[in-house]
Amino acid sequence: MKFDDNTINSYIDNELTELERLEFEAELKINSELQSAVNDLINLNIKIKNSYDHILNQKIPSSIASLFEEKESFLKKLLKFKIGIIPALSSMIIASVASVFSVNTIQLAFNTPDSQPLYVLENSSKDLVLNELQKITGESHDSIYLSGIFDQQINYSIQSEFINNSGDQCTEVHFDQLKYKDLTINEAIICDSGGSQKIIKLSFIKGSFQNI
Amino acid sequence: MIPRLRRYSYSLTGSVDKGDDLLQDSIVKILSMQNESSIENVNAYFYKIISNAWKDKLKKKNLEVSPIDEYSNYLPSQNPSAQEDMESRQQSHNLQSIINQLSDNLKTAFLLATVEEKSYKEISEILNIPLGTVMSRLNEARKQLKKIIHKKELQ
Repeated sequence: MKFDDNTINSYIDNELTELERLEFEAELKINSELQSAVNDLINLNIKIKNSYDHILNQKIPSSIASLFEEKESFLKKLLKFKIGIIPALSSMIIASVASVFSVNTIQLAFNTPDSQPLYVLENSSKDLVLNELQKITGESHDSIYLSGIFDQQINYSIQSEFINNSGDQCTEVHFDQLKYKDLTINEAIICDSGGSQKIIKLSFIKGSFQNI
Repeated sequence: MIPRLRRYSYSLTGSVDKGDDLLQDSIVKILSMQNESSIENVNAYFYKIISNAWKDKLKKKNLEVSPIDEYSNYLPSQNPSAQEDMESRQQSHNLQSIINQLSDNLKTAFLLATVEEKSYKEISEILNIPLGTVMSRLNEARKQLKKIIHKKELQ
């Protein structure tokens, strides 16, 4: 066979470069032995993943959920782990630079007031946002992740914090220039429900915000 | 993220209860770390803590992985057919038994790649091993799984 096991595994695990993937798929079209090897591995992956996925639908046990009922929400704790708070002054400079140098690009629709610092969204929370984006756009998980959005630094400011009707602690955040393709995602509400975080609102517009 | 960490703990231990204990211990450890300014990737860090906690438990208690006690922990299936539901459970149980035949090193890398869909780079970070080792472990795990499945099919 033209490709070794490591390459086949890398294909299954989405680890090939675009060029390598195209070369692999060209061979895949004409090589029945390779097709069989790939299909076997894909089927095995799916079956194994499914055999553990049922736990995702189960309620988080109280022994674990109670760990999050601290003064500080777990979401905040997560975010604070490696969130560099960008000083208000810096954010104002960034906003000014953006407005001066941007040509036909986004203007900040919600300039961050001095009292609202910008935070950097952590990967775990980014995951939540991107999963929601995937549901809304109907695009594949890979398509969204491969767009490079996951690798971007996403800044946000906290607009409000509240307890919703279900008793979950929720945080309303505004994103700073978060774009995916032609969508500008501007706001989300993230709630912590028994230790499990979920997004209950994600708002976006098609196109960019413009200064009024 | 917590449900996914819970799934990972469950897949490592082969038991929902043992998995929850592992996750609980890991979260307590994470929450007790107040000033971890050196953490670059929180997501990977959580997986790392769980993986290390599991290794420690295995070393200390020589725990056996037992997927068989999980039947009662399944949610009622959406499937209207009780027989199909039973078959699905049986298949899951069989697969988990097969995976538990892998060595801990192979199993951990394989579960992170297949169930948790982590990239090789993330697995390398979580398990603190070079990328080449991640690839060789995944290759070996899949080879062994193929052999075990083939052997089972012949029986």
